[in-house]
Amino acid sequence: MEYVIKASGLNISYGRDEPIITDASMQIKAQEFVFITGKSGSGKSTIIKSLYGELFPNHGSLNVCGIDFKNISSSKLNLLRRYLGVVFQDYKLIDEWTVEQNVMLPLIIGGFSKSVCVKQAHKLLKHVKLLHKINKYPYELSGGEQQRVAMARALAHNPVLILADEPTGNLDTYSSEVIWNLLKGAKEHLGTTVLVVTHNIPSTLGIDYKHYFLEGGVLHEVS
Amino acid sequence: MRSVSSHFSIMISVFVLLFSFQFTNVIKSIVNDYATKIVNDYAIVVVSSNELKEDELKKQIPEIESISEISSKKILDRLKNDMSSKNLALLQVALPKFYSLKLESIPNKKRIEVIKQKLLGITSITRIETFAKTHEKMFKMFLLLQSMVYIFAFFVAFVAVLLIFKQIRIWTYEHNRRMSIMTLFGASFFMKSAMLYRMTLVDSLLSSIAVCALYTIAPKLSIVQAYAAELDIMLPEFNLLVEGGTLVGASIAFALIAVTIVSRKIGRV
Repeated sequence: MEYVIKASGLNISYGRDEPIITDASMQIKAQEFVFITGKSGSGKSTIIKSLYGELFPNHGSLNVCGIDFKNISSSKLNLLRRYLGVVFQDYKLIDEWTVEQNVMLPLIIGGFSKSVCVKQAHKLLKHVKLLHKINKYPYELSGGEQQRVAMARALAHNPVLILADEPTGNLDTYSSEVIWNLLKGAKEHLGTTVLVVTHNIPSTLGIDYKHYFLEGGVLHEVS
Repeated sequence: MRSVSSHFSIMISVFVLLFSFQFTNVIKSIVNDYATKIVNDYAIVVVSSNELKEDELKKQIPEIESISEISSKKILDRLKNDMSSKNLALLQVALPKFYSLKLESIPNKKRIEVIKQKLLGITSITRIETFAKTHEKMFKMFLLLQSMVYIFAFFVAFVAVLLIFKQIRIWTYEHNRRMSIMTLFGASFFMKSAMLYRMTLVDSLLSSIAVCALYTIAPKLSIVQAYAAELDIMLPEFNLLVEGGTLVGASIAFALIAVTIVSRKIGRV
């Protein structure tokens, strides 16, 4: 699988509204680090949503992790989502589950044994410096801590592709630094492809990356 | 507290549903038992100038179970004081034969009339008493009672089903966020609905055990037995293996179907 994401002429809208994305094309190779930037409301999150199948394109072709979106079945979509690690803008942590259980979610879905799930959750929570809050519930954590838990969850099952929607928006410097280091580490050490939607690309990232700019529903590659 | 009451709303509804289902079975059994009792008590009296042969009668009227002659000795004994022995002997010779015809099942009014006409077709038979009115009235009353119980049970069960679906809907909405997050990580339908299945199954199972316990214990209570004896009805014994198994199986099947329908309808993400 040369390309992890292959999108051509995507046209995406919410319901019957006017399309937000009118022509988005991108080709992302394995182990690439990609940024999509653009103004607020330009449709950056819409693109991410279409990549994990929350929204489906009206026109155009889309292939993610070797799975084509044309007439995709729910079982294929579930399979695709198990290849992905998604970091949502609003964290999407399960309130009635502890931090540890939240991190274990993709592993439980993947059918791993409890001991593997626990071991991996502990390892990642140590990485995000939240091992001491393992038994806390999401509502007991700050926004930055919740995002770090979401980050640990996205990495738990060693995904092929990480999709991060504004992962550091509204976060303090320390939490932002932890998140960027984790994303960088995932690319460098695990060979994970990373796609981040953000307002600003951090100046101190220190890795090669590909940059797309979204404007007027069209995705432009910035050279 | 809210969680406990939500469990009770499923448990009580399933209990009512299973209770009404089993109650119709009990009523059916009681009515059938009573019908047998009526059949045993019921007989057609036939007066014939000649002796009647059971085989020949059965050929014409298949529902005849048995035929027995009613002895005229009692009538003659009563007349002993008023008549001379010579006249009594003459009367004994001239007296027709009385028969009691027992049937296999309770015939309806129409069928009784058909039986009557068939019997009258036999030349030796001079008179028939069917007691149709008394028998019809009692049996109809029992059938009416059974129908009323069926209708009542149907409405109770219908309301119970609505309440169960409503509670599962509430649970599905309560867990919708968790289910949608799980969906975004590729959880299958059954995995994300596992909690709903577990809650509904446990509640249904507890209810079915409670219904089984009630129907096992209730007929053994002295107050219930005394009441049944007063009404001259026999309460059927609860077969834990067959009837209990049916109730538990039905409750599990119903829980699975209800959760699948509701969460498929609401939980689409």
